[in-house]
Amino acid sequence: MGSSGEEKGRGDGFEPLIVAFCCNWCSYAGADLAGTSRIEYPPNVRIIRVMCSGRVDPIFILEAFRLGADGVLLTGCHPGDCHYIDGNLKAEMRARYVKMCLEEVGLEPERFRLEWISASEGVRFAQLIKEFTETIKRLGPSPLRRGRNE
Amino acid sequence: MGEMPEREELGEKLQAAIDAFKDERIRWFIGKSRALIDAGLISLEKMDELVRLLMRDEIERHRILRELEKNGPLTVDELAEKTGIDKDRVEEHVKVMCIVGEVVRSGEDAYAVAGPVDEMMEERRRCPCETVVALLHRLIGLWG
Repeated sequence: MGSSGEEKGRGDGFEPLIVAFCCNWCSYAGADLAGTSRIEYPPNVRIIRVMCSGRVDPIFILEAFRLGADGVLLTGCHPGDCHYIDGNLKAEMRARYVKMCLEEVGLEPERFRLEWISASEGVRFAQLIKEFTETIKRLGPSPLRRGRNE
Repeated sequence: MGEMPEREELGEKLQAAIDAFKDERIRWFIGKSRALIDAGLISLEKMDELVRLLMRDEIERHRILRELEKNGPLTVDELAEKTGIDKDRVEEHVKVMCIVGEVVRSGEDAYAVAGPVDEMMEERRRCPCETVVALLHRLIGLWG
């Protein structure tokens, strides 16, 4: 999105609204560890706990965007660590197509990201939220969010 | 198309994408994609290409269906104007949708929805027939 996105995002004190789907066994525990370890990360993220990243239907992600989320994160266990064997691999394929779909409808695919976070990666979780929040700030508010606020 | 605000258009496209992801035809492809790739039946790149084509088709068809429900009957030109979809593609979509019974001719050159759209959406969640018809159309030139 280049510099215009940066101006758009930074100039008006824009605080992104980010929805994060975290799997119960790894990434939610990682988020919990970040909290209990008192690691600071931006308060822009709203976490939704799901039993597995494979539970997240592409519709959930698209619906979050439709309702005005500026960014959506999907986090799950590292490949090979899924509590349900291959739920995270299913999520990986779906994420690929969700990105494709976002491109197709004209929303920046960078607004959606899939990451693997284990239960011991509290620091990494906080780092991811920081990075993603910065990315979304650079992209600016979702056009659909602007609609909601008017 | 120029009249439609960008935000409204984006909202419509996103809603069409959500509806498309509820359809069996897309869910089947996405659900089977890894198994098909792992079995060596198709490459990842080819699967991406197929899913992209399928997704584009379905999003456009949902938009056409909703447009006809809201403002129909409409001609191909009017549909192309209102949705911003290329006229040739609209023409192909309405032909496919006529064959599967979602759209009917209305008057000389206009089209209308064949019944309640919500019921059609339900049917789409079970039946992948439109994909088959569209593939036949492309592969063997159903209309010459």
